[in-house]
Amino acid sequence: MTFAAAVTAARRAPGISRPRLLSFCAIAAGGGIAIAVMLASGTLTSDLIVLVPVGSMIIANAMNACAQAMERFRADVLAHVGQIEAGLSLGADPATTVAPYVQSAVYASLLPRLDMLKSLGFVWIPGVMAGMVVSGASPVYAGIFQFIIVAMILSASGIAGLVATLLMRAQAFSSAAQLKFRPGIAGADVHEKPVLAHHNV
Amino acid sequence: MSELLSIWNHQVILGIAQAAAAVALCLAVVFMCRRFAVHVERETALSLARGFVQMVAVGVLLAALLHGSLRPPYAFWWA
Repeated sequence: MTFAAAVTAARRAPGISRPRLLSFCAIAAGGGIAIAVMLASGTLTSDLIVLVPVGSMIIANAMNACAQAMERFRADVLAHVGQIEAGLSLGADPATTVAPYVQSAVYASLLPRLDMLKSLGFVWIPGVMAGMVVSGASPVYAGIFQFIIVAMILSASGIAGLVATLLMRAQAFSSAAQLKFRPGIAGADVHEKPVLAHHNV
Repeated sequence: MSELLSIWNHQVILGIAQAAAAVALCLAVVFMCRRFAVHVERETALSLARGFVQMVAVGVLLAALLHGSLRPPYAFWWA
């Protein structure tokens, strides 16, 4: 499941080396930690009938967060190549030059889950709670269980987004602190090619 | 009233303890994000509080609706 999610999310990071491994690490870290905490706290049992559906929800959301973070970071870096290189030429640390884009990528990956958590209950009653109530469980416990799942989705998404962005940041620079992402090189679209290329033609 | 009190059984108390563990992990992630200058502390705390209160409120409402009678007390008028 995690591997399939990694293959899907890796399509959002064209032009970087080993995108599937990067996505796999991010999704496995996010989903793995969240599921491990749920198992340790007794929220989930190790029965496959419980583990597979709940695990799939968490992994799917970690995949979305990973893809959003990678896409946002890549787009921001490609849009600010000049500023990043100016910072590098002035002697700035590579991590410092892309720090604002790391922040925006992680925030972008968290935002949909924060809104989902805010609107829980009043705007939408999620499927797990509805299913538990229909099957005769206590509605209050069903509500709390659904809250736990959404909170874990938020945690998994945060971890996946953060790990994906940090791994992409590590790949964005060479060992000599040169920016490797370039418009037209890092899998960018044709319209993102530098204007200078048109002058040469 | 007794119906409302009966929904706070040991399963619900256990659920609240499990929710506390989930919130602890969320806060750990938020502090990890803070190390990279991603400040979502306030928004996350607000979202967690709102989500929990809303879900418990909806649960209590559903419990009252599903376990109680939907007929109003003056239903004998047309019974």
